[in-house]
Amino acid sequence: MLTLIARRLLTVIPLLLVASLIVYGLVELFPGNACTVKLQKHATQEKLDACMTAYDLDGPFPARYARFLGKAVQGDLGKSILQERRVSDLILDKLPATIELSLVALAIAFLFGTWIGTRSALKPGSWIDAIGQIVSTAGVSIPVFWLAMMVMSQFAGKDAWFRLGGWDATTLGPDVAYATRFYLFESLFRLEFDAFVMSIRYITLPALTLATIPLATITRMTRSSVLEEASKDYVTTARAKGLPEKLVIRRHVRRNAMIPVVTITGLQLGVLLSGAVLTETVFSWPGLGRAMISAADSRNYPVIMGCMLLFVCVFVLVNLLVDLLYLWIDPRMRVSGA
Amino acid sequence: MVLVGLVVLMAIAAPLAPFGPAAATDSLDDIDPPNHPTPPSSRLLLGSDKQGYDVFSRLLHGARATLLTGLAAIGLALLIGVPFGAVSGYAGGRVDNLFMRMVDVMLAFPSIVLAIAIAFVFSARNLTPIILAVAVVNIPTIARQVRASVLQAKTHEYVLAARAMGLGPGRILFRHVLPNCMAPIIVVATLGVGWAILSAAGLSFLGLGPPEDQAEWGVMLQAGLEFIGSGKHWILVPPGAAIAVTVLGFNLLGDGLRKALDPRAR
Amino acid sequence: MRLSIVLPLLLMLALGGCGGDEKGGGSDVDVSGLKPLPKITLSYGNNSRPYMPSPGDVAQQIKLMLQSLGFEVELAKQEWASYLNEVKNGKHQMALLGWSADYPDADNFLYVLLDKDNARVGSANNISFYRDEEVHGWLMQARTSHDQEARVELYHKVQQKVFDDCPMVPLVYTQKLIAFRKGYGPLTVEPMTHPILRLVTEPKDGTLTYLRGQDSVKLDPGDVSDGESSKVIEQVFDQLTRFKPGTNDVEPSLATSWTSSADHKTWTFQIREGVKFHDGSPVNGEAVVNAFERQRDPQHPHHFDDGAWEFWQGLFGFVAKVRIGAQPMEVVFELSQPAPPFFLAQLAQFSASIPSKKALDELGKKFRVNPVGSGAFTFVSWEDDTAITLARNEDYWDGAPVLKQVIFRIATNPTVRSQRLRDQQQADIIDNIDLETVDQLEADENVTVARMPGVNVGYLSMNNLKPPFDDKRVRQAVAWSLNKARIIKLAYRGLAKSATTPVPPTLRAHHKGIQDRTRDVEKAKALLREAGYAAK
Repeated sequence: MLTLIARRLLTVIPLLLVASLIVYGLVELFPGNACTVKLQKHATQEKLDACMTAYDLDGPFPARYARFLGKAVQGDLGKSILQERRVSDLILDKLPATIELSLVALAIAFLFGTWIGTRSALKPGSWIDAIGQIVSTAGVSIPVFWLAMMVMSQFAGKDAWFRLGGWDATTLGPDVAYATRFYLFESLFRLEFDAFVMSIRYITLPALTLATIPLATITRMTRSSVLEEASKDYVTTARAKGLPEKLVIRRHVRRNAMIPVVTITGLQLGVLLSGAVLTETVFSWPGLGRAMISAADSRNYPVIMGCMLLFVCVFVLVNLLVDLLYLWIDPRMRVSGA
Repeated sequence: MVLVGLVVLMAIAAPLAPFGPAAATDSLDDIDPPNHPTPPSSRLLLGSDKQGYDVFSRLLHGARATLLTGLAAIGLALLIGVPFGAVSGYAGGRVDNLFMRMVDVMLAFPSIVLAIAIAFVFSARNLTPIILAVAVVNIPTIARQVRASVLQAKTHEYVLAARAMGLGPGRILFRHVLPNCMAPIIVVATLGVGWAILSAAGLSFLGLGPPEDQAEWGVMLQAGLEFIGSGKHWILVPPGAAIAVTVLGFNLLGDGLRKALDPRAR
Repeated sequence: MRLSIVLPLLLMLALGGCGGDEKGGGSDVDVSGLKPLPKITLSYGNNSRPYMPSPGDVAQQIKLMLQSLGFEVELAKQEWASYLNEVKNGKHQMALLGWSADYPDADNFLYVLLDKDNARVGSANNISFYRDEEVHGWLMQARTSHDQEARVELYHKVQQKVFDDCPMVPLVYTQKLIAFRKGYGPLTVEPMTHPILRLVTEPKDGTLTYLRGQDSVKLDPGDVSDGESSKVIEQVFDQLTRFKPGTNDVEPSLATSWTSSADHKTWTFQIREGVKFHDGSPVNGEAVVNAFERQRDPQHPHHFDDGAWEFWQGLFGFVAKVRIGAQPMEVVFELSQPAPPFFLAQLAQFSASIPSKKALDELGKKFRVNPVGSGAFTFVSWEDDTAITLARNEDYWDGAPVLKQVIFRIATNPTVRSQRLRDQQQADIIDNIDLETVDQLEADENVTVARMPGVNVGYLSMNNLKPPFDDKRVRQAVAWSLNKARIIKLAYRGLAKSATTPVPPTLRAHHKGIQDRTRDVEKAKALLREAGYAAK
């Protein structure tokens, strides 16, 4: 098992290397650069050249990529050209908001998705099955950014309970200056009730909106998984033994049916990150997705690179984790999965 | 099917729209033009947008852009993904290994990150950047599907027979194996069109699409962004609903095709 | 069965192929030997600027207006960085841009935007590439004359000539909108429209929270360029001179008096006695010399190597050396050429702020996050992307301010900023207001919206080096086709003034006598025909 994990981990490294090369190469092809933006009004050719050199934007590509990689491996992603802050600090500022948003959305989607999915599988043709059908088709058809805008329009207004726009230390309460910037989790952890409620008021709408994406897949998956499980021999046997229906469902069907659902939930995290870019833009959520877009707009290369690489790393690692989890749950995979 | 037909109809009907995709609905000489966007009226069925364009006409013209984007992107993805997956599946061994590693690399990106990176490389003067971006992102899914089908088909007797007849691998693959794998590919492609339209709209909403004067639903939504909470957010309904209906149409069509083409599901 | 499904699919594919067709063929062949109108590309950057909050909207209106002359116009939207790159290299045909002043003088508009010196491909600010010798002559004369009346006359000549030659079309002067809560104020701004918080008289001993869109980059006055940094720097630092509140006139600040030699090449400043920096060290000749020499001399220990120092060359490139004079409280500027007439105004803007030499010695590069000046407010703390806190300087030489504390906070979304001001959620004053929320704010009786005339201009540039805009008549035709009132209503929500010349009316040299061209399609077409083009 350990060697297997090690082997999987090893395959990730070249993957990340190639991915970083692709990102660096693509970003390289973006026309224009942030030095022009920075020096906008007073640009002279010498100043531009100096800026290009200072941020290592000039010179042969392979050498620059090698330098970038060398530093990146040590955790140094360079400095933002416009904000002049370390990219790693910028990312640490923005990442918590994205993580909280994604996790809350995923939790909402998992709870509702499995509930609707199980119900509709057990009572095909009922109203809940109809809802399940609608949710699972609409979720993959409605543009999430449109949904976000409609939701915002509905809840915009001075007296609305839900708050629109991003949170920050100053909007949540007078003393909410958490260094971690995990406002929701940390306020709960510290039992600071007011700040926690305020965070909920901020995060609910974006999280609900974002949740519609994985909700569809999770509902679908749960339904078909429960259906498949329920038709298996051992369930029939259990029923034949005279076990009460509720117990059969809870003990056997649901537990076994959840394995693929958990997997798919994990894999949805990547899709969520994509949705987060759009949702964050509409809700002005202070997360990584929006930071990436605005950095790309101004060609702020170090920041774009940092954000994109982080997205790729998170995505690859989550997939790996799900993979390993699967191996652990289902021993049969250990042989063929290698 | 009906929904997709509706959108196609919209695209065909676009030249009949009362106004061009970006034509003023009032006089340009007016030094005090009306306060656009104006609400729906008998003259402008869905009202005007902030530029004074007719929303209804733009919606019709937008159907063309949307269909073009979705179909071209998937077409392009098929063009590359099908041979890629087919060769990989048929050749097996080292070629397969190499090809699949390439697919793995592409799948290591959250799709939108890769799409954004590709779209940013081009300046946004038309639909090309988003079509390319969405196409590239779709290649791995299609290649995998084709590979799986080819792998399955490879074991069939007619392939063995063809090989015994001394036909070359290229001929066998493209003349005999691939045509027999069409069904799942068509299903994946149809579902892919819906997905492509959705992500293309997202990209142009982020400002990576065509310039604002072009009638495209994502662009129309972006123009409406500033009206959230201003009491004029009805401007957001037509383009968003149009995207949702189109994507839903392709998804239902894809599901229908799957049921029709998959003998087991029948 | 299968065929019935595949067929419609193929049909759709075919349809999609022809779905994106473009407009029909170009102009018809003309019998009179006139050339067909060429296709035009109008470029614009995708981000919001003070002089142009939504460039896409402006571009679309201009496209409509040009189309009515028969031009086929393609819009080319670009990300800001690549857009700047394109226009500064002269690759565009037509472009939308603008200018916000560094110092309140017509020179900063006319010389920068229209002189041939600034039309160098690669780093051009004169992106119309207008290279008129006569205009250049007048501008150079106005740069050296110290007779204000004569200068105004020269600038009037330049504006008239530029109006006739029409190398670009000035579109609008925008207003800067600042809103503040009842019980705060009054609001006074310096010429670059940053509020002067030491002049706020209410609430007494109160805390003012300034909610803005972005954090400052750094607070080292010699080495910043962004407005959010200079906004804070203005409160913490003093300069040798300052603007009389509410005017563009210069008055003494850290310098009490000054004299210049007859050739305007040597300037001597007397430094105010008894003023101390926030760290207790004295404001003296040494500190003032240090403030300028560190910007001028790349070898200076305080000329940090990672800085851009971009204001120096453009504003003070003519300064050869700054040294201490006969006494320790006397500073001498030696110039390589006669000082321009707006030299004292340049000394009043933020990049000429005087930092504490002691603090620079002790902090080195960390000075930029721990600024020490002699201004009305003392820097207290800076939490990245959250808040910058300033406290009243009790020993301020011009009397301690009324406000006890100032906190700069950030909310990136303009709608959220307006909302928070109205909800009284840690926001007493906001700027960069979303045009869509102005009405709501003005309707709120607890909020006052101040409209400050901005010292800026938004314009439509035509590349004078590229056909068809190398022909004056075509450029004039373009100007005749524009309906600026419509552009202002639809693309600026009415919050801008129609521009006639590149010089905004807040400046003395603004030429009031110019009668602007108002949309006249017939006149425009006649000009096009005169230029040899077949107008529609």
